[in-house]
Amino acid sequence: MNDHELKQLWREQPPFSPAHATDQELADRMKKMMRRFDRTILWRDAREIGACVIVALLAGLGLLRQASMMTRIGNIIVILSCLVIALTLTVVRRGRRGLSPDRSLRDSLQAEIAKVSGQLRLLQTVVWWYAAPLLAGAALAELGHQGGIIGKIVVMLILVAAGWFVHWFNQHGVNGLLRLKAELERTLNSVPEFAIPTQDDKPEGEAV
Amino acid sequence: MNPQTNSDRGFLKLIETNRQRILKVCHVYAATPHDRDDLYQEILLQIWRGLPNLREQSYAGTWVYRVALNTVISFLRRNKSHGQIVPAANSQLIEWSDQRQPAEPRRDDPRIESLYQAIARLNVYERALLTLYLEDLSYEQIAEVMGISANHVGVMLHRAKAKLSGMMQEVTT
Repeated sequence: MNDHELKQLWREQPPFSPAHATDQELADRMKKMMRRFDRTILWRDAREIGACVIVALLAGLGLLRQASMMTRIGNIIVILSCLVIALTLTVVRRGRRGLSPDRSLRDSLQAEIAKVSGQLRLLQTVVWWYAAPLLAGAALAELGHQGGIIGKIVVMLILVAAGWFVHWFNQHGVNGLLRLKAELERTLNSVPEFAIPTQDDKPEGEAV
Repeated sequence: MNPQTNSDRGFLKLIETNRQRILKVCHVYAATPHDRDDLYQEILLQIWRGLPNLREQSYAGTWVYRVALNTVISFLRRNKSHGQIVPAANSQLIEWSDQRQPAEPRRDDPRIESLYQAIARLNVYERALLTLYLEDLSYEQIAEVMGISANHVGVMLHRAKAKLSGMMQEVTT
């Protein structure tokens, strides 16, 4: 089939029919979807930042009580960790929202690679910016409390298990994202400006 | 029901003019009717969001393709991360290709069905390139949508068409 026949075949295919909706229904649906989209983003941010605020408040209450220096330091570390987590998530998300929906396909692929790379960096370092400071703060706060050694050992074991779980859970995500990033990069590298043209590459006009 | 505003009318006019283009993009990239519906809705939403950025109506055609293909990339990434587009056992196929069910009824003409099946086995970039080419966009317009120079469009199109030819022979035999 040559180029002309191919294009003719494409042109003459019967039209597709989308799910029927009147113009007004379509416009209303878009507004509804837009509101839902905004609500979802707002709710997700509020949930994550809200969780940080609650943990920070609980640690702050600990600071107000009569406690040992170790417990106070632990609580301060927890509060600072919550601040770092909330800031990290906010900065990462703000950066993603600025993308224009009408960029070129190459820019879009590059943006997706950047997005996946950003997610990868977050997941690969989750122990350092998320789990370790939070758990270390909680461990210090617990160790500074008066109480039996058995109770402290149990709490330490729970904290270590929580840290290990966060690491294990995120490692699953890392493996999937690494595969996805490799595929995105392969696709981007198929763009001629990145690849070296071979002698077989000729302009169009040949039969398909 | 709300009364139509100017932005509603602009959006509806744009969709009316470009509906078949958007639907073809959906059929090229999404394998199941459910995915196609999702992708169609998502593209319409992105057009709605991006419409205030469209200043020159004369560029509306290529603008719609840009928005549609951007949405496709995000859509594929999301579905891919959920393992829905390419089954792991078939990952040796060309990257980001999908596995259409040959028996899936879509077009009456078996040649157009073969063409869609063959295109579906190309990678994301080649699929976009061929779709725009079949839609009769000029090299300059294709270059603008794809973000490459017009000189490279011919080279890449040549490769994609050679691949498509091989794929079409595979799906028809």
